[in-house]
Amino acid sequence: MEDDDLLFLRQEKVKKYEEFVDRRLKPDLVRAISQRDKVFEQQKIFSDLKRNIENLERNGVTSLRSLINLGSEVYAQADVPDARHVFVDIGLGFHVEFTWLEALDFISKKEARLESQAEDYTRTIASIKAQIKLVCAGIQELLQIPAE
Amino acid sequence: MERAKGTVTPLASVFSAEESQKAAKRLEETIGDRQRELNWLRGFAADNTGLVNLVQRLPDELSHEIMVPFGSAAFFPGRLIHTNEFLVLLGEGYYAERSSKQTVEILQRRGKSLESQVESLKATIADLEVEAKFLDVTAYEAAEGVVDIREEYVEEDHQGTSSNSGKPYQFKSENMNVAIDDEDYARIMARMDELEKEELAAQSGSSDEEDVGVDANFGCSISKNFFDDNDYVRSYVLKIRSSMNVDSTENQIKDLTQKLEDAKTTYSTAEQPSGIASQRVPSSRLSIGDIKEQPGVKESSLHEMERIDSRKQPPGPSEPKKVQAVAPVSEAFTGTVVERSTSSLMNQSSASSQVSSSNPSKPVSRFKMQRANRG
Repeated sequence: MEDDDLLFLRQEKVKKYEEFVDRRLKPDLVRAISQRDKVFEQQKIFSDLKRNIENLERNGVTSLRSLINLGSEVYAQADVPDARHVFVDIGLGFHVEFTWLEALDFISKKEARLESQAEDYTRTIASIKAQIKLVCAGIQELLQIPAE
Repeated sequence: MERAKGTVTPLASVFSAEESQKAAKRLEETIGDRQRELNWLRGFAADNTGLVNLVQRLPDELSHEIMVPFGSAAFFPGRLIHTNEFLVLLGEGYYAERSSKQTVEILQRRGKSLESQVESLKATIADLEVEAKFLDVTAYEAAEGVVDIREEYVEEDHQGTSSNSGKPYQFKSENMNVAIDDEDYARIMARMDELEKEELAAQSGSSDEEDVGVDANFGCSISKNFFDDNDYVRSYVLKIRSSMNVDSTENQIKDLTQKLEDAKTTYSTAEQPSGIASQRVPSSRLSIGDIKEQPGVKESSLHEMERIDSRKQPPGPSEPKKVQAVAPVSEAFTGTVVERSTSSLMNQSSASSQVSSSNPSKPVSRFKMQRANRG
């Protein structure tokens, strides 16, 4: 009878652990990965911006024309009379007017920040994965012991 | 009278409650997906209308002060120029330069296609919802222990119900596609022969008055005095089942009615013992008519009907009813081939010269047999 109780208890425990993995750890992992992807995206945006500004600098452009997307792939022509000042998104909905040099300076700082963020997320992801593995190993152990 | 046997099946044995519930759940999920798709499409449609407004408004001014995006994280202050020139994606990476008006046209066409997509998606969702509801109900009913009772549909002869004998003649509906067993058939045939003899006997009594030609053609005859006093009628009645085109049947019936009138006039003067009687079916019934024809006039069509009829209506082994419906031309007649003998009508007279009968119905192929006998 006691064995049966023990068996039952263990099964309950296994169930609990599995639930923990499925309902807590795995969603966490998914969330962390998607956040890291967002950071990667930002990194790409800023590296593009950096390259573009460097391009402008190299060519000494003071005014430029571009096509802007109005939505649904309808483009209209736009003229920028003074391209020496650029407004850059610094986060939280704020845009700051920079000269090219200032912008480049800001971008390098931003990139460093994004880099560390990405690393953080990578670490978090690794730890979540480790936890999942650990819990899985625990479940395995629990399942092996009752066989004795 | 034999009645078709029904079967009783518990609904649960056909659709198990659990399975139905599962199916319903899955359908719900599909509906959710479609709903998301629908919202997505609606978003597009809203964007599209917004864009149409914008494109319409832009050429109002020569230039607009805007922030020109430079990548997605930066922009320059600038302005829109050439406000009546747009570059529109046609698809596959091809762009066309269009004016504001032309762009609006393109966008409206896009909007229409979006709308039709929305509509079709809505229809799909409605279909799925009905299906899910049905499954839910089925699951519920299966759990409740509802049973499915199936019984062969047996249509009642309406003339029979209005008859004196009151016992409706029943035959198996063609929809059921039920083959009658040989036993039934044998009994029917036996009964037919019996009636046949009866009829012949009755006929022999007045045969000297009858026109042989009529008999030869139809195996039915109308005694000479039919049109004189309207008292004694013998007729074959064809009822055409609903499989026939209603319109054409009605036309035919009208045609025949006309002929009947003609024949009446002819016969009343010439005293020729043959006639046409046709009856109209109330429009609520599908295409039923009884036809008596002038010899040789419409024989082929009669045959055709015979074929149709004999194919479609295996008569049940019911007791023949001596029915006389006193029916004006415009009155109804339902679905079988009916023959009635003179004797059965002796005691009944109709006020009008159009008399319908709904009597022991036989397969029409008997006509041919009779004709063969007489011919």
